[in-house]
Amino acid sequence: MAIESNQSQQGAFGAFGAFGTSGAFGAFGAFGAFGAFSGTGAFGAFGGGPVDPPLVSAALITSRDGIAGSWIPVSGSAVDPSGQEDVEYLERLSPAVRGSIFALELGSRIGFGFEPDAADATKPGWARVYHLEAALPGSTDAKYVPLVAVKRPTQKIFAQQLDLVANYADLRQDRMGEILSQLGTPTEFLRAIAFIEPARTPYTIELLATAHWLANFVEMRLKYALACKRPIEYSPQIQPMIWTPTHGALPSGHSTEAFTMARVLWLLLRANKVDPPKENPYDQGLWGEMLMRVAARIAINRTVAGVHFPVDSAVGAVLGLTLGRYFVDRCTFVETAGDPANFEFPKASWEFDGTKYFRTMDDGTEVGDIDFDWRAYYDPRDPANGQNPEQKTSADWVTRTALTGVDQTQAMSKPLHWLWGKAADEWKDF
Amino acid sequence: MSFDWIKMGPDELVRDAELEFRVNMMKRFTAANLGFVKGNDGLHGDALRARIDRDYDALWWMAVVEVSRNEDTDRNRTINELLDLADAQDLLENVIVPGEYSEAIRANEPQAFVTFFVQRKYIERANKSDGEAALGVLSMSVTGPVTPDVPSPIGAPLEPGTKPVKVGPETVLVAVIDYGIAIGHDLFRREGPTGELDVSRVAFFWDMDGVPSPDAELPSSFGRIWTQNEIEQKLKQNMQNGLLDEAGFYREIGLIDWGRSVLKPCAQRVSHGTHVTGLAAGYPAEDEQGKDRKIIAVQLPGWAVHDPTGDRLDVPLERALDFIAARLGQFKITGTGKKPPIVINFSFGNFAGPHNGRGLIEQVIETALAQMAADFGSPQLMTLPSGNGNLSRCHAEFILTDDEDTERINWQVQPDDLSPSMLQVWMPVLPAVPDGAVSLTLMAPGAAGSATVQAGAAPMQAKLTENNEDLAIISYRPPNDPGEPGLFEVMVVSTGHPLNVGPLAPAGAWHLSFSKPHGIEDLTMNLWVRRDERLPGFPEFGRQSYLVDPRYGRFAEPGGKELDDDPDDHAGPVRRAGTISGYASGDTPAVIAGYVRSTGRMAGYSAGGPTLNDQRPTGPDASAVSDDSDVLGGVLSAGSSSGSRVALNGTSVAAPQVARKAADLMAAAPDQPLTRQDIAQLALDDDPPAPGKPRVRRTGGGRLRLPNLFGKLRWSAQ
Repeated sequence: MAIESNQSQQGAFGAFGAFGTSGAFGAFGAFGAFGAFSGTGAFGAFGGGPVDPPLVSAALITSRDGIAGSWIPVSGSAVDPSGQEDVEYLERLSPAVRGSIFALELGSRIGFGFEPDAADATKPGWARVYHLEAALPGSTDAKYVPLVAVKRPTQKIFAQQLDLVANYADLRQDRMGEILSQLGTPTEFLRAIAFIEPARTPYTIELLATAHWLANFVEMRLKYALACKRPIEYSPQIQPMIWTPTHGALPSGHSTEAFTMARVLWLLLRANKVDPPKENPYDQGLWGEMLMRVAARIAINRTVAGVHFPVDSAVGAVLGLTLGRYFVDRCTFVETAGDPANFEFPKASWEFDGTKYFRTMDDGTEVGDIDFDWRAYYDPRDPANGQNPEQKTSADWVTRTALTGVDQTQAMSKPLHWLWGKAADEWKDF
Repeated sequence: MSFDWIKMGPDELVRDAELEFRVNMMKRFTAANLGFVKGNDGLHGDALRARIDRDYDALWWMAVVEVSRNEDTDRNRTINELLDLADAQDLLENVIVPGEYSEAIRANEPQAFVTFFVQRKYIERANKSDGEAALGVLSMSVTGPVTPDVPSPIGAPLEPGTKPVKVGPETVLVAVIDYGIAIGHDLFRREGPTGELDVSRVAFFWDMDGVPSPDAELPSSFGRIWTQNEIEQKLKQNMQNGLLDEAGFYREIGLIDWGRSVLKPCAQRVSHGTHVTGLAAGYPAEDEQGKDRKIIAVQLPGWAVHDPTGDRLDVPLERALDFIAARLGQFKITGTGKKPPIVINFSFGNFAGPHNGRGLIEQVIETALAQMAADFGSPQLMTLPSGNGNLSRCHAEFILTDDEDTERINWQVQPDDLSPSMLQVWMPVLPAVPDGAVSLTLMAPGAAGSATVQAGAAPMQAKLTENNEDLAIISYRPPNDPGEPGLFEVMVVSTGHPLNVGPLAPAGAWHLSFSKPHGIEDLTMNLWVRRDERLPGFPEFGRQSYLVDPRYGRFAEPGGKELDDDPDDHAGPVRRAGTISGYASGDTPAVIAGYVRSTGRMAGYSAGGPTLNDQRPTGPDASAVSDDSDVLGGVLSAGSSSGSRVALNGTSVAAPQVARKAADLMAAAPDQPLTRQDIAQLALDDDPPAPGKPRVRRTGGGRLRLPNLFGKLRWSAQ
């Protein structure tokens, strides 16, 4: 049960909570600490789900007793069976129940391994996240394909990053309202850019919550493996303005989640291809620009608050962007194999080598005081003018490795595809 | 606590107690603030003190020097002559002449005021009783020190900027000297040929805090100058999807770089300089008017703005005005070759100073404006705020007569004040000051005893110490010239500090008592407490000290509104009248007070006259709106980010609105001078005498009716 005092005072957060104490992901209620997460279940906006008060149950017992009468057996042909493994079934489920299904669809295909440094186990090692190409039923062939990997920075780099955290404290007064509002989910801020609203776009909210779940699922395992200390542990002078969460600093959860959801949202907005001369207004680069700006601001505000280093946000951005793309690829089902449009799955794996997060001075000294700049990792460009957005490799510590032999037909999840379609329909330009 | 009052002997006397106080008495605090006392390097006692002294001596201070006359040549000394004197004292290494002074100027031009960078040794020598003869320094005002992370200023003469800048005949230059100027704001940009807002209306920007670069088009001895060309390059490089990537632009310009620990006002939502520049010269990109208003912006250095007393923003002003004049010299109106008109806005005020137009910075301003007028001949006007100290209880005026020959005033120095507290008491101008004409006795809270200094022909100084550390100084300084007033000063070190800096001054009521012997004429004394408050956006530092007098009624009745005018039956020395900014007491600039748009009343804080300057006896020249209403404080203008609008109040925001109006008037009549008297007349025309009009010492000519620039929807005229 999430502690009362940890609940958000603003009910609105309940509307976007992916994680409820009595909902599908009860086990994950632990991170309800910051009030993203309603106590009454996954989608508080929908009335919190049906309840069974004792008074009503007692009434139902006596009422049945009174009206059911003598039992009439039913023949085997009375009722047709429902179709098995059929996405139409999802329509009839509650969002919380669907959440469990999507969790398995996503989670069962994510693998993790930690590869220590071969020479010296105390040096930073690689935390590796994989996509599982699963076997079709009846076969046991399965293959892990690299998705994203992270190596943490050295202590020297963290110490130099700490200067930035101290300097950013100047903005605490300015940003206090934002920081406290952003303790919940990024959806609160994304919905100020796209017309998201629980009654108007319930499936979009569900989709974003599912993407949020994936980001959280992966980032937490990485935080544990990489075990990076928080700014507060390096100096008594940081004095963050909010509680420092117990999980590791890098990657930043806020950054990962914000960038995953921003990327997913923009892809969703652009999902409907319209026939010329009509255009999808969301194809204009400005939409992606603004969504990424808000994701970056959410990330940077965590540094202002004193609970993250800029490098945490950088790793979070690369991780979040990669997972966002991956998530959409798992949702968007390719009818004909080899259709390259917007389908990248996963053509490449991404690596963030934190030990390289420094700049080199003229005299050769390496200084790890690089600030977080989201533009180093993503360029929204302008799809309306034929320039597709791209995730970037310009930074020395980010590498992209092309993958071959990946079976793209293994990518899709039919249930996720169903959800994507429902959400995309909410953005048809009326 | 064992306090001791010590009278300084003749060989300990310094010429300027304020210099001694800032540079020496505050040393242990400044050293601590700069991190000199590390505590983890194993040094203590004498070895530590020696190391601190060594580091401290290496610091540079920015000084505006009033230059003395060379009796041999019968004119003021040139820079080279000053350097010769320094050389003779073995102090050549301890002074840097900013590179903006050319070889020719250094060799040939007699100077009234110069800006040098100096080290402590030079200051101490200049401050000895023979300092004027030894170094040619008549007086000196310092700010700083320049923090150690700032590169040393360049002393070798620099290439001057002479490239002509051609402009159209409707052009008026608007120069803004301020702090926190986000030059990339969309109100300072226009549309370029590609349809993006990548044309800057900022012709020149001197970021005195900037990181010097050999690649700069226009070199500077400190900080970094950006020309319009360079600004536009950075704008173009940072345009994304039709928007300026502000984070990228300001990082590249060096205004927001989180790797630097310098203050970054442009990162805050509200930045003073941006708001002021928006009012003075901000135009939406599509407004054609903007085309004809070119901006010259100077950003004061953080190490000066942060200076403990907050009262020393004026020292960099000499260089700022020199820069503006030099840039004006580059402009040429196509066709005529004449210089465009210029308005200069400096939205800062102080509390202290002689208020007679003869203070150092007032004179610096007069000299600079006179020089510009002589060199260029085009219309020029400087606008200054009248100040916000009306309710601060930082001014007292009293007359010592034979019947009322004593006055007692309590000066409340706040606890936990990390910055020093200082006040000045000016004598009237006398042909000769009889010895003992006025005695000032100072008592400190919790300390037994007192110290007394007397006015006369000779200086007198006394200190309060504890365990041999200086806590306070009280001094009398006789006038330099017969036409000048004598000056009493009381200066108290910090009353609080988080680090181990030694004894702190006691907080509480410091008691000043003045007395005059019989037989001496009536003497009108003027006391001003120096401004010492945290500027918005800055970390907690100074706390304003103030005067306490039971006869000063703050409120009309208990629970009523704070009175913002001295009542007619006002008794006691502490006054609201006369709190006008010291900087604003000079002859030439247009001084602007603030009023509330909705009620027409003066803003409570808006300071007014009288002054002690015959040229400006009543105070401000005019007033403009500084608050939309009593509830909606301030007026709207540019926030730091493009598209942002924020409210900011103060006479700081009244002055630039008048600067904007002045620019429009100059554009309409570019061959006609525009003076502060014209502004006062305009105000009188806008606000003819009528019941309810505020008194002249607060509003000057009257309340100007200027357009509501960015806040029409915030408060519409009823």
